[in-house]
Amino acid sequence: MAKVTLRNVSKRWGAFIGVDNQSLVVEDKEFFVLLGPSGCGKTTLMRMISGLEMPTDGDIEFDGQRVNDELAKDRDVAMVFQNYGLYPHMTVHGNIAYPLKVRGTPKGEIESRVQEAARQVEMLDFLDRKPRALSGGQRQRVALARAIVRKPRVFLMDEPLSNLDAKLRVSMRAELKHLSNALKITTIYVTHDQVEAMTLADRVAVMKKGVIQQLGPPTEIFDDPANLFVAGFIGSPAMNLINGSVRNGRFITMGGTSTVAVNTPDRERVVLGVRAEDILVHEEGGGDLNVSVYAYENTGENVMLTLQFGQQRVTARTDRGLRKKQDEKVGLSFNPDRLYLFDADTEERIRT
Amino acid sequence: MTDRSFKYMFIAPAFLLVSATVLYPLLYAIWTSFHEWRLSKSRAPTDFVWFENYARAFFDDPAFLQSVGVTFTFIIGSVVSAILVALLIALLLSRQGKIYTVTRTIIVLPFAMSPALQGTSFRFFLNQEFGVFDRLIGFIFPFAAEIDWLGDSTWAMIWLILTDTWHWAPFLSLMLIGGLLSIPRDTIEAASVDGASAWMRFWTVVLPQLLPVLAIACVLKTIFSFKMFEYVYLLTGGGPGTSTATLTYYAYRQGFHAYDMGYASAIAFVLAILLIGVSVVYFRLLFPKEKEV
Amino acid sequence: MRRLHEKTGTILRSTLLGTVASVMTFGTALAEDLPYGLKSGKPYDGTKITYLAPVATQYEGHSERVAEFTDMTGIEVEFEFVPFKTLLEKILSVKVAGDSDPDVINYLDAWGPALKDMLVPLDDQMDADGISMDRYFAAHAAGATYDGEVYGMPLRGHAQLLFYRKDLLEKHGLDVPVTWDDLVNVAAVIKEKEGLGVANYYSPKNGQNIFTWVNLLWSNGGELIADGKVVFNSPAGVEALQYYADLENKFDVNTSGAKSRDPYESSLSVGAGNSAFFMGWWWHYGSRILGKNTTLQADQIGFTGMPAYGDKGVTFALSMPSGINVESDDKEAAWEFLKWVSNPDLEKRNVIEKADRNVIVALHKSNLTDEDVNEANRGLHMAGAKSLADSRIFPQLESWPEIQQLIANAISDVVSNGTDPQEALDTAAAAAQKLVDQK
Repeated sequence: MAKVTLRNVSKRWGAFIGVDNQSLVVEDKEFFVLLGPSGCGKTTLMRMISGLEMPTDGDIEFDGQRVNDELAKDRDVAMVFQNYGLYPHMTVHGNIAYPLKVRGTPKGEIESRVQEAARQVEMLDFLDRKPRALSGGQRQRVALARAIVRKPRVFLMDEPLSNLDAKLRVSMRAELKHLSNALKITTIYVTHDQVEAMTLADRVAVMKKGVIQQLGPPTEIFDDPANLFVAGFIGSPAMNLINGSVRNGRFITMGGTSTVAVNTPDRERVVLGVRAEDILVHEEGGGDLNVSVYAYENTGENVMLTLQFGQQRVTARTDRGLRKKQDEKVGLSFNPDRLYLFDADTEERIRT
Repeated sequence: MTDRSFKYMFIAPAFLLVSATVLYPLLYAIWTSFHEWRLSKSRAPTDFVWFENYARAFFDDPAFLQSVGVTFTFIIGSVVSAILVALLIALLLSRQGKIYTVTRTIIVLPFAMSPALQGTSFRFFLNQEFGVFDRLIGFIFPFAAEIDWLGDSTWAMIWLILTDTWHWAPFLSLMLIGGLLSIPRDTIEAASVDGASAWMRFWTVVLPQLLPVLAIACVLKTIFSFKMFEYVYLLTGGGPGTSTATLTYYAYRQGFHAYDMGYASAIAFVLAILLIGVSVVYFRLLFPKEKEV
Repeated sequence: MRRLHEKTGTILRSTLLGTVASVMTFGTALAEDLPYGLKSGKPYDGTKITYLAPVATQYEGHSERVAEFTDMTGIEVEFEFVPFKTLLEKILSVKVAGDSDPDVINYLDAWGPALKDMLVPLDDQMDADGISMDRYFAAHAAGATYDGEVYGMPLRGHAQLLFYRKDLLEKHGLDVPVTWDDLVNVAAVIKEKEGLGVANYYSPKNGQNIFTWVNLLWSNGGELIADGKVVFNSPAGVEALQYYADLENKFDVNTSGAKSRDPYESSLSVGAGNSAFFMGWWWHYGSRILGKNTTLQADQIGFTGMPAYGDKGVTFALSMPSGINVESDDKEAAWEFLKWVSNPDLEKRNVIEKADRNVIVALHKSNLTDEDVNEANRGLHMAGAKSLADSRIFPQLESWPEIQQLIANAISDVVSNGTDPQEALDTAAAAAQKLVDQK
């Protein structure tokens, strides 16, 4: 069990900056998610914690002990790789036992712990198989078992679910959550999938171009995005972002349509953010604006309406009972408590 | 035309080509080996002599048996040496990056060099008076300065092996580099994180995954070691005494200096049988039939 | 300096005379009287023949002057040069294939017994054209003759000589060695004072290490093979081998590296100033000892006959005759070429007008004792003539090349591995006897 601290850590390859002077504390037993698009530096950050990558600058500490100079093998971390990293020439048993074997654990203890780990991931019946005779989900479980077979100080998971199909991903996600609650080991989890981040994390760090954009619990990231990037990255569907300006206390779109009252002094070049579920759809004539239905999509659990006014389109999440036709006229209003304004140039949130 | 004859029509050219270039000479050599054929007396094989040539080799020719021993010594030495050096080079160079790509291109040069040129050069390099190797070794290990490298039976064999290694290791290392680069990186990283030292990672993760390529490299090298002729001919002349006279060299002498083509063919065919036998053993050992679960 | 000038002058003069003489010969050629027994009237005009020869300076000399032959006879000659190392394989492949090309084949005398099937006996033609083997030394003539019939014209042939550093012997007041014991004593002094030893060679490569030992054997009264019996393991042979090995392991007079050395490296060792003595073929004098890279001056190198083991030295001689391919389509034209290429005048011009290559080899008795030839070559040929007068050749057996290799292996084994000479020679002799006994 360990608290992981990063102090002004950078990683550069020549002129390319992977991670740019970042500091971070992951609390003991915390489930911490690094979230961002590919190439944002999240994997690099995690690999530096594992010891597979050495930071160019800065310090990494486990429980206050600097571990920069320790090799991966000495850091006592366990890692689950995106492609599982299973040893293809060993059986499932051999794979799970490997971390214990290389540490010289007594044979009897190895046996009982392998059995226990395999039981936890429900792979007891497959111990004699080679990885190539397993399905993707089974391989994932073996990788997990190999990580939990000993009690490492930190779990590192590098997009562990990204190679699974959508259905399996959802069930494995739940198993992961369950397992992590049971094991109570500091976990650092890298993903580009915001749903995984929202569901699993105690805290999330959203990264872009080597810099952490926002760090906080999932709800805070969702409800109170620090900037335009976080706002656009978190949430499905993505937050509606409308360019315009604020005049006389109202947000005016680029096309000149006056939309909604905002409690902000007048300013040009503003982006208004509003989530799909915070757009309210009324019958024609209702709401603040008259718009037409551009597209009607029924997902089963919701109805997604894409609405057009002027040059602008927004997506609204509405009740699954709603029935509208394309080009039908409807009214629209925004939930005034859930509006986000951003500076179009700095992309920073405009707080009032 | 039926489908069946159609399919034979397609493989016919390949079959004819293989027959003409491989099968015919091989069968002719076998046929010759059962005949008396003295080049000095006749330009073609004469009497059919059953297994006389083979009997002579195994029961009445100590020099033949000795050359079998020399050949196996050379094979073991050269395969081990070439593979170890190749593995070392491969481990050093199996990285991504321009400098590694360029180095890999450069180190293959020894393989491109003609064995004749290399054999002649190495003989010169090892010369006690003019040789650069001899000077260099004498400078680093003064006690070795007086050794007549090719005038000592043990050293002559060692230098034969090293000369061959110099030629083959770079090429084999390219094979191994290919093998190493195709090993999933995350398996090696997983082993690091799992707590394995570099040495253990090599033995328990890298080497087992390299084994198929390594096996092919070994088989290939063994086959070529069996056929060792050039460096014997150019470096040692089979000497001192007959301590480096390999089977191919012995067969060559029997054919072209004792003019006994029947006997030379028999020796060559024994060589072919040994070669096939060793290859089969290799594949049995390295690719045991896996039971699929 | 003045003497040298005079010498050059003489060479120039004789060269000039030679050229004038050949020009005059062309003049008379019109009058239907060709030299060397060549047929006049160009009966083979337009015939094209090929000539297979090893790479050596004297053949280049032939090639350069062959236009003279074509002018006289209308026969065109194409030279096919292959390295000596692969010459036998080339000839054997011609034999197996039954090719009609090359028409004329140059071969080593020791290969003759195995190759004579593919060669045309020349006695009748020689009689008709008045050519006799008497013009050559007995050893060279014998090398081209099998069972009393002549199969080739000796075109390249060597005498064995002892080359030594004249300047060093003079410096230490030492006499030129006559016997092997003299050589050991003199060489010991030179090695101690100057650090230069004897460039002996014991490598079994191509069976060449037998060349020196066979002098010791014959000098000691031994034989290789007598009346179908292999006898080189006789006491005389064993003693000769023990003595030969002692040069390296007991007397310690050799330049280091002898166990692995071959003759080419040995003569180079003298040329490089690392050795004071070399025993071997005279051709080494021109291209190796005084070759392009040496810093030695000609007067630093002396030469004499091979040392004697008993009272009298017996040396070994070899030659390379040229014969006519029995499958050739143009045997008459080939014989015309053989007559021309073996004529003494051509040989003499070759060793005197050296151009930029140092041709040494000559075989005609008349040339070896010729004043101009000796003047142009510092008396080398006179020394060669003396050596050849008491020289012998290897037994004329089909299997001789392999027997030679067996002995070579035994010599190397004794010197390098300390094997007992008697044991090594007995083993070789047993294997050799089997080869001799083969029908």
